Amino acid sequence: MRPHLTMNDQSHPSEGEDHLSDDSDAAGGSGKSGNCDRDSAQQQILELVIEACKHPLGSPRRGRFLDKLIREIVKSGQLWKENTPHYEEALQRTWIYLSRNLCEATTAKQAYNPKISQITTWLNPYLKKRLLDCHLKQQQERERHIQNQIVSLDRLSDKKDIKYAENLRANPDVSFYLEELLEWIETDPNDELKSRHVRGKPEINCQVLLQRKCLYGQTIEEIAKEFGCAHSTLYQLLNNDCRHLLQQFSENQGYQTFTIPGVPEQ
Amino acid sequence: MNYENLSNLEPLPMPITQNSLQIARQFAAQQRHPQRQEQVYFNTLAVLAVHDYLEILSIKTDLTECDSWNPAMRLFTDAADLYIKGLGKIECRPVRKLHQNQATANDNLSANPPVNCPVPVEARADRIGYIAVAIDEDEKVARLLGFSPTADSGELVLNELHSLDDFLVNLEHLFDAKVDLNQWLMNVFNPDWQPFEAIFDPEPLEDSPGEIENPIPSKLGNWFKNIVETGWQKFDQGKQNLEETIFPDEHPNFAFRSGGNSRQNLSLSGGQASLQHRFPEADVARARLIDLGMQLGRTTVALLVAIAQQSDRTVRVHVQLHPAIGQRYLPPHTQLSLISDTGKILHKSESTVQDLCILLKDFDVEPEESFSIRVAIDDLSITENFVV
Repeated sequence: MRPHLTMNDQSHPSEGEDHLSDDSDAAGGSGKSGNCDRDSAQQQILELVIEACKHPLGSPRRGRFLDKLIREIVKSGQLWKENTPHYEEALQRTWIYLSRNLCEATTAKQAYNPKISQITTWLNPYLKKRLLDCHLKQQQERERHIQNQIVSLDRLSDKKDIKYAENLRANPDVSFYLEELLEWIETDPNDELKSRHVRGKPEINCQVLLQRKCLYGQTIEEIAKEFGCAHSTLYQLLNNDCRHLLQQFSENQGYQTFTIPGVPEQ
Repeated sequence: MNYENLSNLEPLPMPITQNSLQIARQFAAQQRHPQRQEQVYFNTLAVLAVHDYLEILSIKTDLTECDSWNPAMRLFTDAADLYIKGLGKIECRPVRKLHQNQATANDNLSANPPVNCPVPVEARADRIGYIAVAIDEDEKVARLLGFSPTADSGELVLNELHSLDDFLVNLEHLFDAKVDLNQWLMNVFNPDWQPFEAIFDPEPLEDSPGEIENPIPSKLGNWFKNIVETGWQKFDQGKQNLEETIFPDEHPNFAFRSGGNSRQNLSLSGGQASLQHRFPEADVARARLIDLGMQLGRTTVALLVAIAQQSDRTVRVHVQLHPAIGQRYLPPHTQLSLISDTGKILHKSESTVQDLCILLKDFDVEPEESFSIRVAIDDLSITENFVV
């Protein structure tokens, strides 16, 4: 490693940067401190930070360095760890904080500055703060839960920007919708499902296929074997005919929010 | 820094959050068969692990058009798909860790960790790749084991997986391969996208008036050769007959004759004539050849894209799909689809038995918006991503 490039070295910051932006081989003398492994790990981390920041946020190339950086941080064993129920939540949010503020301050006041602190020194306070948040939130939840036995599904998700919050909130509708859907498949009152079948084989139709998949838990291969047809044929039936019929059902029943993927707009 | 150093086969541990567990339980509870409950539970955790991973990397994903996130499709498909914005779907296959007691209760073989990960039929179409995710509920960790660009054999062999870095390299290539239509307006083209004369009229233009000794243009000559070789048409049926066969009067979707009366014009400027007829305001038009492997040999089709810049900086796009020279019709059931950047199929056109050309409704694209065009036949598809 290059001796003057330890992260806490404040005496030659500009010199250090010049060397780091140079892509030449980093072979050199051994570190001045006895803690050689830790130093070289920190060195590795610092190089990854610098490389990551050369590429735009959200580009796969920066992603490649972030991926490696996270591995190195995990490997360093210096990230705060505890065995509490919300540790994973707090950790995930910490990785996002790292990614959003490593090179440019997106959610923090200032971006990470390697001259001021080691990366784990920067991340650990954030992680602990999130753990405290989660802990307080859980306490509040518990108090609320005692007051009001029904926990709203809204509160289960704290990732507001993610679509699945919607999905959770819509859940009472989902079960209602699925009940109706399954009943329609069972009864097929207008023979819509039965009338869409593999050519020349009316017994292999959409109703049978959907029931086998859902109620019997069979795979397409298993069903194909049982009926003696190619699994690509069954896949086509599922992917084209069944999808269209499911979409028609959702539309006709007024479930506009449950559009079926892969069916073109009319 | 050497990029090769980034390859790392050590699985990346992603935290499994309470939130993810909650969603997985909820999705599983909607299933009607115990096996399906288990599948959906693990599929959901795998999708969320890759979702969280890409969120950390600030690579945008969208679940709204995914089967894994659709309550109805989740009942009927064993899919763990996740859409990467503007690029395509990645399949996140879960690998379950055997519990210690489970393993010892069964025979010795099952004590070994799984060596492969099955990929069901419904999870093999329209995927840009596969990531295997080992779910460890005890440690609340989802380990992203690695990446495979394909799963044609129906399973992922775990010790043959590529590194996650290869997955990101793959994404990088896909990003770079996006066709930037703004570049087209500045006359910058990727070599795959040829002026369509070069696709539909491979002869140099200046040669065409003089060289008429051979009345059959070269590519048409190939067409003759092809049909003779495949025995579809007897060569001695006479020129008149053949001409009628190649250029019949009924052209349902194709303004083929507007170029004039000579055979050369008819045959060669088809793409151009059709384009001028249908999309007269085009600023730029380019075409590329697409190879579609088929069970019976290969088929080449030509995708034609013409654009016109609108006053409000949006770009109007016109898309046609033609058989390449050498074939007369598109293969039946060839599908041409317009897909939004979140993976929604906005419009689809499908060829019937004798279509010379199919096209999409013209559409407008906002600046910086992405869209994709997919050409598909049977289980095979090729997707071209565009950005304005």
